[in-house]
Amino acid sequence: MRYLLLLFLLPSMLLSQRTLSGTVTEAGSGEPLMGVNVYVPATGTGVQTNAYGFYSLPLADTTVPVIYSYLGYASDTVRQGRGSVVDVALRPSQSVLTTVEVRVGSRVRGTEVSQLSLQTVNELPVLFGEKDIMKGLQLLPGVSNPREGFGGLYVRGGSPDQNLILLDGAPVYNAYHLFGFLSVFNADALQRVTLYKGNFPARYGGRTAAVVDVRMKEGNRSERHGSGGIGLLTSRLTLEGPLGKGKRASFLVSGRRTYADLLLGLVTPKGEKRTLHFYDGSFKLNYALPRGDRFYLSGYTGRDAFGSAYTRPGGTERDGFDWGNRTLTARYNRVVGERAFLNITALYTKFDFTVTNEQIVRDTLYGLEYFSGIQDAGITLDLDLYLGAGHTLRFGAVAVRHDFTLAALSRRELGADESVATQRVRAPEYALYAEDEWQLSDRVEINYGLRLSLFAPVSGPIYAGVGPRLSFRYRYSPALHLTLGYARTTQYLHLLSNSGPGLPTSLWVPASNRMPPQRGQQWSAGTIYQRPASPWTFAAGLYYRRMRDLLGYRNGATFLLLDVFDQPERSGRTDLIDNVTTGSGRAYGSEWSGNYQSDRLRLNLAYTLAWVSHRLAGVNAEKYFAANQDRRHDFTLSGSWQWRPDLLLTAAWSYGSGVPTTVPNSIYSAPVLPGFTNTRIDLDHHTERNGYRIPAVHRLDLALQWKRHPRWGEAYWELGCYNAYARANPFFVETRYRQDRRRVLTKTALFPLIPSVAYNFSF
Amino acid sequence: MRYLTLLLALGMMGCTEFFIQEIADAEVPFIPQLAVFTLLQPQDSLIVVDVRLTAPAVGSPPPDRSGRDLVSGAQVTISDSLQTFPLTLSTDPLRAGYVISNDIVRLRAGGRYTVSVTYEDLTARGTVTIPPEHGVGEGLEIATTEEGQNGFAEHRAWVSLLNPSGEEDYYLLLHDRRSYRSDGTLGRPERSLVDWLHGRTVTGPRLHFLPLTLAGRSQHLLRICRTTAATVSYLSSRDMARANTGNPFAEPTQVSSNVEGGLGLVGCAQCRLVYVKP
Repeated sequence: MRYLLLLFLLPSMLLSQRTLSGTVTEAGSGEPLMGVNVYVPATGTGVQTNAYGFYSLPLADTTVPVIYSYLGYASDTVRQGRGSVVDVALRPSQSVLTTVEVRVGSRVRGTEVSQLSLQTVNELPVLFGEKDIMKGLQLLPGVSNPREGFGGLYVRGGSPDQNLILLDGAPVYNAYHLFGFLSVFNADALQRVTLYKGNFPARYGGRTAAVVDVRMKEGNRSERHGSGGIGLLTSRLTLEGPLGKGKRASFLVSGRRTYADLLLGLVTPKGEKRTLHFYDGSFKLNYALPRGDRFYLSGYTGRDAFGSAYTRPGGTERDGFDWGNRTLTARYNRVVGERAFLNITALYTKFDFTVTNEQIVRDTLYGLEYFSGIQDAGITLDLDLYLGAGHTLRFGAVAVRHDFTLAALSRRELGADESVATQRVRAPEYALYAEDEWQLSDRVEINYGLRLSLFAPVSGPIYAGVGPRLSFRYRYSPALHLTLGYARTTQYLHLLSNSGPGLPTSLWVPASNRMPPQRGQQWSAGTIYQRPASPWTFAAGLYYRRMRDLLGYRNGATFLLLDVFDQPERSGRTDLIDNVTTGSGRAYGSEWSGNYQSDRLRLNLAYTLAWVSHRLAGVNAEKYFAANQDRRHDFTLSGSWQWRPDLLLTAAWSYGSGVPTTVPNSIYSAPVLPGFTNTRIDLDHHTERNGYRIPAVHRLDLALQWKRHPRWGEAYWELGCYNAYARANPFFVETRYRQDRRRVLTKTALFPLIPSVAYNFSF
Repeated sequence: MRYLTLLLALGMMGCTEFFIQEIADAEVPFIPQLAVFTLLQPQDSLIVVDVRLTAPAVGSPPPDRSGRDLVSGAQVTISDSLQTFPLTLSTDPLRAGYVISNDIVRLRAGGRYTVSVTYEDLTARGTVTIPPEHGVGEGLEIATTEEGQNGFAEHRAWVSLLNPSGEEDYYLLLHDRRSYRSDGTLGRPERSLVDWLHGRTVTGPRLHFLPLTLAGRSQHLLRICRTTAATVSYLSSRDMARANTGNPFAEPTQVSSNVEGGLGLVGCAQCRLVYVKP
């Protein structure tokens, strides 16, 4: 009713007030800046730019000065005179002291949202020197990684499949290369990475844990530029610039490829051929239409291949994994009047994988091919209405068609015809949302909303979800802000996977009778302490999550296709649904962070104290047990020091207490055929799931960047050292027999001290 | 040369021992249990119960608690609703275990039997109900094929059954093979488990077992059996556990058990016997 009333009042409001609107971009590149504070000191009111740099602010007197300020950029003060449309270009600042003005009128976003600094990502010391936004996100409080070296994210006790990862609005279903060691995102091509930890606004939905919203750069509208790097594992190149005359259009293309094949070749025996490589590429075009409208087209494609081929007397054998993503986003922006912003997005995304096993023995082919995937096509409509200073109403509608290829098997034996069994499921998902972001006073700000969703598979039950969202911010003093949040979320897609590293062979499946949608609720409270002009910022938060209809694994479940290969004749009888069970979960904890930033020194500290437990039907007597994500202590300290103008030293130390895992408690001998033969096998018995904690992990990573200034641009060499004190951090634990036949528990580590060198450049 | 390069690289980065290390202070809780196995068949002449003791998965167990040796000195009984029969220890290497003649117990269809084991302060018991004879092997079809080349022929038997509607049908296919000796007499039977199936509506109108190979100069007896959910669950999970051993990417596998206070299987098979020739 309230919204109806506002809609009725809207035309009169639009007519009755003068409005200042426009777009804020980065000077030089023309990239739009999101979250810029547009502040009117005379009235004490302000507004922030949206994801496309657009703002709209009602002003009674359009001659008063307006300050445009953004962290890391020099502020600009504009007396715009009589004009009602003001586009502003901010220049990146060399000194953080200029951010003082920013804080005067800034609106603290709370502990629920983190915008990752891409500069920080480029400075981080990482494995093999490969810059990765996921490794940057892992340094935030409340975020941890599944296993050392992996890029997956556990956000506030959620599993990686509970994170919605968006690239220009299109979901990316498997965001990792090389079995999870590296994300698919090339940091050179990115404009912004935003993480919402649980309490995400109503415009986001479809997952229960977190949203990682990745936006690509739009391409420099003024000049042609390029950037890239040559590292131990990959090389990459990004080019961007204006298209045509008039600076109406720009482009960006980016590509990356690994040459891990070469390293693998060093250890490949004769008669074998091994494949291990990935590539990815992305592009973006944007075109400014007359009247300020904009059209964007962006896309991504990437693929991994991992396989081996053996040649032996009498035959050959070939095994392979092959997986990849594709996304395509077409977006149209239109400023309606001066106080409404319309965004229409058409999106397409696809993830698929193929597993192949072929043997040719005496000219006879025995083959097995397994492929699966998910494909989405959809359209979203977003309308932002700027009702007043600090008051924005957002509406939207989403329609997405999911197409699942659950499992397909292709067998060719003894020259017989190829048989293909494919199971496809189509499931449309719809959502409507409304969100009201309102600065009630200079102290109180509220964002409340509602998301209604509907999941309607072509066959099977229909599910609906109601997702209220609330975020409340209170400025107790200029330095101290308090936040409260609540969100209820629904997830209609499940990922069937093993509990270890998320392999690309994991299957996305729709909610069904036996696997109803996951539902989550989260309550959070936080505080941020940031004194004006102080280089220090402190934040602390508490959260509590409840999860319902959580998907878990029955004892003995397996989804690994290698197991199918072990017994291909049984694969046709395996019902994957039989492997899963459902239950509930809870996660709670506290997050602490501190940041220091001066001209030469930057320090970030994050600590998380967390508990995560699940209760699953048929597991551990249906009592709550420590979930895989249950890492009690997670501590990171990272920083950089500008030693000399051309030398930057960076370091990151991280500590994570051990996560639970399942190890056998006892061993016993069993007859192959009870009561008849005496051929025996040894079996392990696990008393409980996740009853053992693997040892803690900790390591120190270091890097030194040496900047050069060649005539054609800028460049820097980076020398890195991953795991500087060579800590054997466990990747997994297992039992093994020693030479004296004593059975022991062992930990397997993957990464000793690993030096790296990389050359990065921009022009 | 390439191996030398790799070894040098590993040596520079630490040493090969870096990657796999023993966790010296690992404390894995252990409680000893009895592991009991039997498959009761009315068509067999002997009931055999296998009794073992679990050993710690980590560390050095005492010599008498390795988990591998048959437990001697246990009290093993099988009982129905009316009587309890004690079993005695047999040392026959092919059928080692606690045994009793089926002529004494007289296993019957529909009978509910409990196998109990007591050893020191440990007890374990498992109960099973033998399926009815009616319908066992209904719609049985056995086809034999001959494949091969260059004078070598392999005979295979393909067994299928009607699949009754419903979700609770479980089957075993056992194969008893007796080779002919040079003097024309039959040797001792060797029994193998060919396959097991869970018959469900979704699996279609017929159930197909995996094919079995019929070796020449042998007598082949097929046992097409109805069994229990616990038996199929045990066999499936046991195979999965074996396949997953040493695979860090697989979910740790808990082998199914229907033995209270212990581990293992008290299963059964109600069989129809069919001789086949290659």
